[in-house]
Amino acid sequence: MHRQNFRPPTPPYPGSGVGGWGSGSSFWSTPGGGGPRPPSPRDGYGSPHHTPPYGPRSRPYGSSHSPRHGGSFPGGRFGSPSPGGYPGSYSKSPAGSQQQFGYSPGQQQTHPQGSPRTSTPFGSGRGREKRMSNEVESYFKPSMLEDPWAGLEPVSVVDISQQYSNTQTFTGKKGRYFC
Amino acid sequence: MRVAVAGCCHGELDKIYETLVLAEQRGPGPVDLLLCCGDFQAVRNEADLRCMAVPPKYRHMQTFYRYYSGEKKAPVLTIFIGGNHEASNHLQELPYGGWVAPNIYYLGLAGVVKYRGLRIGGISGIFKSHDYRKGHFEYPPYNSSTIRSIYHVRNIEVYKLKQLKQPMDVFLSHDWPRSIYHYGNKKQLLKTKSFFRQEVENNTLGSPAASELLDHLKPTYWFSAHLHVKFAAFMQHQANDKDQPAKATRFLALDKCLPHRDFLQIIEIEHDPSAPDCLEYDIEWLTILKATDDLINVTGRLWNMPENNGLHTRWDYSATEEAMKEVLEKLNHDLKVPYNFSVTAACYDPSKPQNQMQLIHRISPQTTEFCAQLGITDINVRLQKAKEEPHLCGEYEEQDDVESNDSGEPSEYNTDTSALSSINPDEILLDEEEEEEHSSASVQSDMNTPSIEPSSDQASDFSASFSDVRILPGSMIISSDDTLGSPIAREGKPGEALESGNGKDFIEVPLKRLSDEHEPEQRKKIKRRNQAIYTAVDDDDDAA
Repeated sequence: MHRQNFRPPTPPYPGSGVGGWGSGSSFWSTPGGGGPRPPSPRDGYGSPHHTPPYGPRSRPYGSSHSPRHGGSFPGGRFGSPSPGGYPGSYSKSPAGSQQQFGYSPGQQQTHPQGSPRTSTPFGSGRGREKRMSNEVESYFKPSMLEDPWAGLEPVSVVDISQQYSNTQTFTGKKGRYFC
Repeated sequence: MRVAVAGCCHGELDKIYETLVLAEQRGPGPVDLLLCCGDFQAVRNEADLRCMAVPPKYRHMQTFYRYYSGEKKAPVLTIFIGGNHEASNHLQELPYGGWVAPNIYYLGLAGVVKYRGLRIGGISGIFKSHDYRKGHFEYPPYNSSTIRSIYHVRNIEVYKLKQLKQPMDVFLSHDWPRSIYHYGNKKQLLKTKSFFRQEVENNTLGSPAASELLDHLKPTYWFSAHLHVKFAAFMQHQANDKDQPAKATRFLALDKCLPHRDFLQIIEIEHDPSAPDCLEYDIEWLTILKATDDLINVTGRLWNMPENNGLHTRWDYSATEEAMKEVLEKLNHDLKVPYNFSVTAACYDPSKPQNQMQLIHRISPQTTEFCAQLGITDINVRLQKAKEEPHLCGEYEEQDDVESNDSGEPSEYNTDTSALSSINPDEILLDEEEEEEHSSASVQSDMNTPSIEPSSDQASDFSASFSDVRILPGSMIISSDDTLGSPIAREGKPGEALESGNGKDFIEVPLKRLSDEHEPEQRKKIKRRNQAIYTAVDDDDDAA
């Protein structure tokens, strides 16, 4: 299964991305390796890290940035990756498309890269895994994969505030702001 | 990218990650990010456990310590905010955010970060009006008052967040923004949680501070937890500009992590494929932090944020282009959140329990590094200095804040119902004795909580009548005995629900402003009416 590994492969950071604070300038004009070194960890309590926290390590699930299987984004927009919150725009994003949320419950999907996990919440041993998977089944609900806003129409704040006048946090005095 | 959102964790990290893995298998693919909306319970050891505001029967180590030690690793980047059940001493070490374990990031008292171009903000804690305008004066070891007030939202965090101008994609709060329930299937919500009815109709359920932020930020998504129910809403904001269409927010609250509960949701959110594949600081937020560094308050005295009223030389702390460039220079043009997690506290060892572990007010090296880089103050350093030199920084208002009580200034949130008793059977009551007074549940609609299904009832729901008249219990007497383990002033959730259908003890009074300035220590005990109908829900019973 392709897993987006949170850690970068090696420091310094390659800096290929573009940030966004509206001006369009790039944060990554220089490789980001010039940050201050963190202080040496105070590990005096002797709780060893069984796995090194960070740093270069093998990535069992392949490289990052490859497109998701089964999911295709219409091309991320720089600076405002979200649909922007405009009414109706939700349906244009992959999030709103049926192929994402119409997933049938119970359908098994094998991981394309099927690599075994090296560190998982599951224990070792098949019997234990089977017991745990039965328990996990009781936690999972197919609705977790469905669109929670399906069927909801946007409600205007203007309509509601007319009904519920005490939504205002101001005391009514103009210009007076308690924060 | 696929984002998983979790409601109240209550330390059930193993279960959440296992369920997430299963959801990945059953769904369209892997999840890139997990957002957790509080009650995370990052308990490292026995001392942390003591700093968690829960009754003894809920005081369990749970599973976080295995992630802290490195025995287990979060399978996906996890970002969380604090709720009202936390290892408060641990989170206090990271007021500006930081790693609590590899791959698990705490946003801080309030924070904004970026991941793969997605702008994620959040505010920790729950709203309580009587603590809202105080500084951050608490430090471990906590007493019966500060163990609660430590997680109460403060005006300074809301003020900082309100300086943000750029669009917000995702925002997290533990308690719900007030009024959000009017934008979803309210009827269905009240079927599941009938004891919310009064507060929903009065529009007092939820946090007014969060509501203010929702109105200001207008994020694309807002996720919450706290009330242990799944609820979706779709809010269309007022358009600021005639040329630009109105923004809309999709709100989702989730349940707590138990079998057959709606505690997890997988959502597809657009991201920027060219954005870095690592967690980054947000430059606008960092700039605001730097600008507001002078506004640090580590006393319990009430104060107001600067405003344009002639009393303050500065009231606009928003990030200018120039200021952002300066901050970027300070960070050497590297906004990547450093991977500087380290184990700084003893980790729980089940084979060697330490019941007498000492509580220490720690300075986190992560916070030290962050503050040094940005040139801002670590609140905990300031607190420790003030402890040593109380005459310089004012008295340490751990408990008695008498003068502030006489200030006469009301909370601006005059519809706070925090002092009212709660009858939410889902609530984890702080005081076990109080819980045991209750009879067995009569309202167990939570047992088989269905998923909140949107329906055509949504439109008809808004014609529900509401009352302008506040309904208060017949007697509300709050005890001054406010020590842990004894009956106390109700801690509960903001805007706690009043039971409907038992109105005989209700007294209708005009909207009355509660004495929010009183410290809990000076409060009298709330006498519950209709104690017999109160439910004492054991969480274990909910696991059908």
